[in-house]
Amino acid sequence: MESFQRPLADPFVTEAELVQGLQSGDPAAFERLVRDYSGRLLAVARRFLTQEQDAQDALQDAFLSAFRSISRFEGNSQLSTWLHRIVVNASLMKLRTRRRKPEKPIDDLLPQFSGNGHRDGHEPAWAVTIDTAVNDREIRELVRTKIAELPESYRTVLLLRDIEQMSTEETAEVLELTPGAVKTRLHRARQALKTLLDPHMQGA
Amino acid sequence: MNHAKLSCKEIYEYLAEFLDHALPANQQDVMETHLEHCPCCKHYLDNYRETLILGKAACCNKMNPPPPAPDALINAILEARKQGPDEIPPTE
Ligand SMILES: [Zn+2]
Repeated sequence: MESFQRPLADPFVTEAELVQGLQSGDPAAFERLVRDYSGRLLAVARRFLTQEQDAQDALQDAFLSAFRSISRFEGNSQLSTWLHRIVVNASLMKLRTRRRKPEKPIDDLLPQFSGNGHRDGHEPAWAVTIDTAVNDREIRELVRTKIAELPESYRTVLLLRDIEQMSTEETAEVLELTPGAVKTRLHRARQALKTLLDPHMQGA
Repeated sequence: MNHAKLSCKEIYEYLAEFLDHALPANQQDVMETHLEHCPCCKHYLDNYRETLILGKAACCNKMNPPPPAPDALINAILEARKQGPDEIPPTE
């Protein structure tokens, strides 16, 4: 009932007010944080973890981790950026600890060449223009589905490098790979995603 | 990279570096010359580049506003926080 007696004015208009509320342990601030940020952060976790339960677990781990370390949040970055990074870390942790299914080899999704280095088969230009594709909600959804179909070790590199915009070195460090391996996997992941998109982009 | 005879297979391998302009100038030039004369590689490069753009667009939260998280999950997180201090000793 106490919440009804609070002034109607929103106590957390600015990010600084919300952070202050969190740091002073105000339950209303925690609730606000979770309600405002969980949708977009769950979307991040779902990209890394294709099983819904894993994604939800990672989000919960991330928030608990954020609650524990909010006292150390100094406002050098935006709260959303800080939370985003925590969710990525929690998702990577979940990937590491969860039972790993054997991966399908990526080779089937890579272009094939004949002995003289010429491509087997030809490569038509995509019929759908990039502007049309980018602005088409259904195509964007299709792309997300295809990213989810990539073998996990390739998908993770693609997400960290191309989507999360981590550097090659940073990605290598968090995944315990060499920078060379990150580069190779990124290129293969992009090639595989392209192959998966081909039938949908080459037109009727 | 063998500059004189660059096969399509080799062109495909260096596409990421080519797009990042991360190759030495003379290698970048060799790639460009090949791409001008080889529609197969040129189309592959274009489609590869568009895949990158599409991937970013598909994962952009601004372009694809995510639905709210399920209420049950939100409640579970808030509940877990209340129980947190018993399980996790303060770090001070
Ligand atoms: Zn070629």
